[in-house]
Amino acid sequence: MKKFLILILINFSIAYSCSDAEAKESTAKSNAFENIDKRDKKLFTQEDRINSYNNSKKKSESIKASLTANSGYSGYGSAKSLEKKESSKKIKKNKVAKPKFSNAGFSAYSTN
Amino acid sequence: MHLIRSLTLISIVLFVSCGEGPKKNIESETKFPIEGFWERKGTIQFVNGVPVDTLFYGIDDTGEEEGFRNVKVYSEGNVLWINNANDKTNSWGAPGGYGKFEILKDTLTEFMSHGMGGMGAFLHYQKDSLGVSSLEFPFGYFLDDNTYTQMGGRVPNTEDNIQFGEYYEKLPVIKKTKMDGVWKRAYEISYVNGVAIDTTSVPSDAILDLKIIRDGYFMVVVDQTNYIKDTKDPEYGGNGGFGQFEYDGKGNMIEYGEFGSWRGSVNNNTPRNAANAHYASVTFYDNDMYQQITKDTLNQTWRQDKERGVVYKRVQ
Repeated sequence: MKKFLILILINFSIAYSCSDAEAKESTAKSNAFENIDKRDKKLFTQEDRINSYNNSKKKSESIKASLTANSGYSGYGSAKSLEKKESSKKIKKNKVAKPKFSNAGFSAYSTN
Repeated sequence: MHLIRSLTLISIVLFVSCGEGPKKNIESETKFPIEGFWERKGTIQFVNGVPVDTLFYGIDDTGEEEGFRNVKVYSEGNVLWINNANDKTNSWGAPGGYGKFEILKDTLTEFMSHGMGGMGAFLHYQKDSLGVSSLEFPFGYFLDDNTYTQMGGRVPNTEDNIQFGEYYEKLPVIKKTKMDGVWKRAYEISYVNGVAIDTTSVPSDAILDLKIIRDGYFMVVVDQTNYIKDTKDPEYGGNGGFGQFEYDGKGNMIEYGEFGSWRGSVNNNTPRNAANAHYASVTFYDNDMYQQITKDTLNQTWRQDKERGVVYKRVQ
């Protein structure tokens, strides 16, 4: 009898959590954007909203450019070759590429 | 004992099905016979209200360039059309228009609010001048299961009582998917090496990126006339496209571009051509919001914004 009751309890708990699982998950994911909405509500004018959008694009492109510029081998043997270069040439500074930014609105469908 | 075994089996089945997650099959219902994708085939000539002739694109001398195409979709109260005309009057590319529509008795009224190419610029100017959010276009129409005639399309000859009507044929339903609906780009997520670093909302009063997916087709229009202020910039005209659509239900979608706002030429690709396909991975947050990220594939010629997630919200 005890086993029977335990099984019923398990079934109920599984059924309950199942029915709500997707709803809970999707609500949590959708709510993640509420913070963005709250933050952007402070942008009163159209110009503010456009600037905020542009800045976001610039920011990611700047990070990508920076990562690209700084990428290179830094493992075994890399220090030695650097010393040689230092003795013969001026140190080449890692040039941080100017972030490319197009004023055009992003779209997955831009074809021009 | 037998009952306990049965219950144990049910528990296991429930547990496994819970892990899979319930899959809801959402199919957009056809509310009105006009709902769906329509391709314009030509122009019907009416004399004294009676149809007397049909001038077909590519067959009769209709004045359009070879390969001209014009497709329109009505879906859930929204109307969107684009064509592939080589508009030489400006540098903004082919035109297209988006708005809401309503049908009252024998009149279909379109309330056009956004567009691309010359139509986008026209709507922007008119809305700005008149201080309105959309322009009304009422049409008489004839509709049956597979054909739709919208009065207008050419200047009528009142002297001889000649009118014209745009003649459309319905595109057959290929497949319905969970992604069928009217979607608007709401957020963008930047990724660097696969890690999300920033999320921003799209300024909806400056950029309208709207996409209608249904019946195995997609159509998109991007109006950025409030975002790019310089009318001499070709990008002022925004962009758009039309083609067939596939979603496998497992997070993979393909948009096979047939024609769009390519500037400077009449473009018309063969349907389902892999060379003009846009491959993207799709993640649903819920039934009304999803993120798409363009995939890096060897076949695609579309812009490679692989590290930018685009979040679309369903237009209710």
